[in-house]
Amino acid sequence: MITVTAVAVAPTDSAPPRRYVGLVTRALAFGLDAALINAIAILVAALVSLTFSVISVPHEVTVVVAALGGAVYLIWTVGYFTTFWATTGQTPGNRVLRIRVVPASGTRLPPRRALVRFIGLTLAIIPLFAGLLPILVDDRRRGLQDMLARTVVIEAEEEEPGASARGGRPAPPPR
Amino acid sequence: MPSIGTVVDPFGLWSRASLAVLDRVLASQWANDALAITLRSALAERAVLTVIEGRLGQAALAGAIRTGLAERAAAELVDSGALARILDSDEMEELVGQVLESRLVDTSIQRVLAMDELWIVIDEVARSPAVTDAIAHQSVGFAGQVAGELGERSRRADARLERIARRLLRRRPADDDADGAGGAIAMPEPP
Repeated sequence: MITVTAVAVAPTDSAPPRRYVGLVTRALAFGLDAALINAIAILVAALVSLTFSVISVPHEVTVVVAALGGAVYLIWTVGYFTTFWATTGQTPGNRVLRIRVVPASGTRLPPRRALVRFIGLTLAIIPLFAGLLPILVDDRRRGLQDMLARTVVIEAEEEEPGASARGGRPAPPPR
Repeated sequence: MPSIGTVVDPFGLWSRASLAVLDRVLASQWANDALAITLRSALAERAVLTVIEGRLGQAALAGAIRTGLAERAAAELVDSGALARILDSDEMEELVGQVLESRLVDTSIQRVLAMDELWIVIDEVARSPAVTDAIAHQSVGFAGQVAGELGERSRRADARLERIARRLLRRRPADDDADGAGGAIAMPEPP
């Protein structure tokens, strides 16, 4: 019993506590991700459109390609978020804002829970972003997607010396 | 065997008298006027040109170079401080100004710019690892600075928005909100 307690305390002493990240920072990161996703999608769509503009295809084929494009866009968007969340925990937007999605317990988010988080994010956005409002009042700043996927969003580790200008005061001992 | 001079003028009186007369003549106003007239004449000009253009001039020039006259003159200019005075003078400033405004500078710059070697050197410098690294570091540093500033401002906005929301809902402020930075503290990640 004593041994178990010692193992549980050791990481607490070695790893400094980090802040949960609020709504504005997360919204900015999401905006950057959305811009990146759409920029790539628009580029690909433009290339496909150019291709179809010079060759003559039946109208039915165009409709099928458009539907296929929609599906690819959906897969691309879902894959973008779930892949980054399940691997590094950071989308490019998160990386710019130096935040990270981590499971509330454990070290890495399984892909299935990353997918749940994406679905939760979609559900949170549909009712005029009402599902994101809990971030403002929850003690761990969790939105609907975090509650469903059992995740939290925290500040990422410092990667550059002297980059602490963003953080405020040193963190107090963990509660 | 004694020389003729010793025989004719054993006490040197004649020689001394001749030199005294010569001194008198050279110191006279008549001699000065004669010299001035001579120097102003075309004859003097022709004489000088003849000396300069002739073998005598070449010999003098070669001798000056061989004996290091130019170096000695330069050293004397530096040691005596004359060079510093010349460089500080208004006349030198005027001279440099005229040189810079002359066609000489424009022509020189055009000739330098027309040189292929110059562009080869510039190309080499631009492609050098030191320069490309410096540019890359500057770009990355600037992007990081922008991201850091954006993150700092967004976190302040987080705290402000959260305080407003908690006040509206009459909930207690976040535990670490005493400094105004806002935001709850995350426990360390489990191992």
